[in-house]
Amino acid sequence: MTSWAMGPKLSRFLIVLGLGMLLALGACASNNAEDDAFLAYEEPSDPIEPINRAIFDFNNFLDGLLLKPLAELYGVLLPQGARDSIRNFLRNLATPVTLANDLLQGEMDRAGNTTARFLVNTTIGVGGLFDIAEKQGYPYHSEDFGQTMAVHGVDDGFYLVLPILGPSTARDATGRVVDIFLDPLTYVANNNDWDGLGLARTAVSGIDARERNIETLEELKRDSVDFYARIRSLYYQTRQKEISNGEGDLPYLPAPGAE
Amino acid sequence: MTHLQNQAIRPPLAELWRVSSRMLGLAAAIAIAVSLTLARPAASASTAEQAEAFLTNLSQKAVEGLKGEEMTQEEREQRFRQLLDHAFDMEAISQFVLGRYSRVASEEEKQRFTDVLKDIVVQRFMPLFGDYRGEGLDVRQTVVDEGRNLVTIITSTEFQGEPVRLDWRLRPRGESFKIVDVVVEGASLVITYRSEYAAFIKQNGGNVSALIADLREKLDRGAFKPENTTAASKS
Repeated sequence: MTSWAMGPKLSRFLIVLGLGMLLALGACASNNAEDDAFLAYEEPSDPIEPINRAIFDFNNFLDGLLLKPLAELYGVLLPQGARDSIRNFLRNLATPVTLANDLLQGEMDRAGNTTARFLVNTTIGVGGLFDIAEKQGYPYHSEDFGQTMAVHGVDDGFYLVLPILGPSTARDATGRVVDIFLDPLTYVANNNDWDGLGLARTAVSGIDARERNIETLEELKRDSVDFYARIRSLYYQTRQKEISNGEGDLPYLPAPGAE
Repeated sequence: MTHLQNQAIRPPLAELWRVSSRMLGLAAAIAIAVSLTLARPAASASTAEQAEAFLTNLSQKAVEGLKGEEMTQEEREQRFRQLLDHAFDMEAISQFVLGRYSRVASEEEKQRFTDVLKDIVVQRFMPLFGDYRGEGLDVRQTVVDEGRNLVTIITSTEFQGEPVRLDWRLRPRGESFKIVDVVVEGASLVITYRSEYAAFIKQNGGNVSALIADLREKLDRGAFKPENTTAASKS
């Protein structure tokens, strides 16, 4: 989800913020990414926890007021097939960003997979509405510049809850900004004055993702003693798996019992 | 190239040959060593097979043992608890989840925490077995990490039309195994609990009893019961 179409002032602010973070991150680039990943489970670095908690509460409030009702409406109005097609289309649209990051990570196999998916789904899949490639053995994956930085040894910096966009870290938020510049659609929209395009795309993908997680999120919330801390831990863990592209066992995960 | 130079090159060539034949001997030695090490994955493979058999056997036992309709709720729960003690290393899990607070908690608090965790597992997972249709586990890969004394069985299941990866992490215990963690799409159950509970204990001034009380209250409300247990059997 991105919100860059909000206006030039905001985008300039975000760029400055992003660059500032990039500089800050340079100072704490990690020597031992594995150790840091391990520690992240012990004690996620969260120096601005009170601010994060406030934004988290605000996001939850907004979710109950707006996002969740919209997602429920979306789920009722559109059948599963239509919702899947919307997601497929948005995923296909994000191909250039994924491909750029595959290449920046030196993941040639995955870059090939991403390209094959794009070619198959854009043509046979009618402009990306149908994920034909998945059935042909080219599964979907996403990459972003936050992951690319992580692969090159940049640690997460600190936990950061973004307004509306939700859980992130200093590194991953910076990555979001860089991804905007990696996306050809940004320039296409700029040249054609399609101001609403980015926002519309963000909104639809947000509503679609929310609809798919209505029950899951409800369950996660219901039995938690500290919903904020639970989401924080889950964010770090799923992120770590995305970064490692883990296909086999996940050797970085600690486990109970004597080693 | 002159004849003289040719002559001069000869001896080093012979030297090279002697060295390389010695290297060949070394290579042969390495090959034997490697084949000996390769024999170990064969041992690992059987560990993997044993672990998979343990898990399959467990899911069968759970389905068969809990299905009986004439069983009362108490009998059912008792059987489930037996299975839980048999299959999961609840002591190790409990200690791991408490993390560094297990050092400040009293023995009595630790025991109460283990008990409350068991009750959570019973409330959370027992209803799921009632609806379980007993399809076999779809095992994708089993990784034996001998250095860490850990076996990971990677299984795949489907959730809302999307494939979901489910890892079972086991530790060898004598002749058998004990489950120490379940990992869903890279998110570990025990790590998530540990991180969350640590945050709660910290916010409550390091008081483990406060966490136990909160969890007990949630148990009494049935907060851990899965949302739609019938939804799974509907499809």
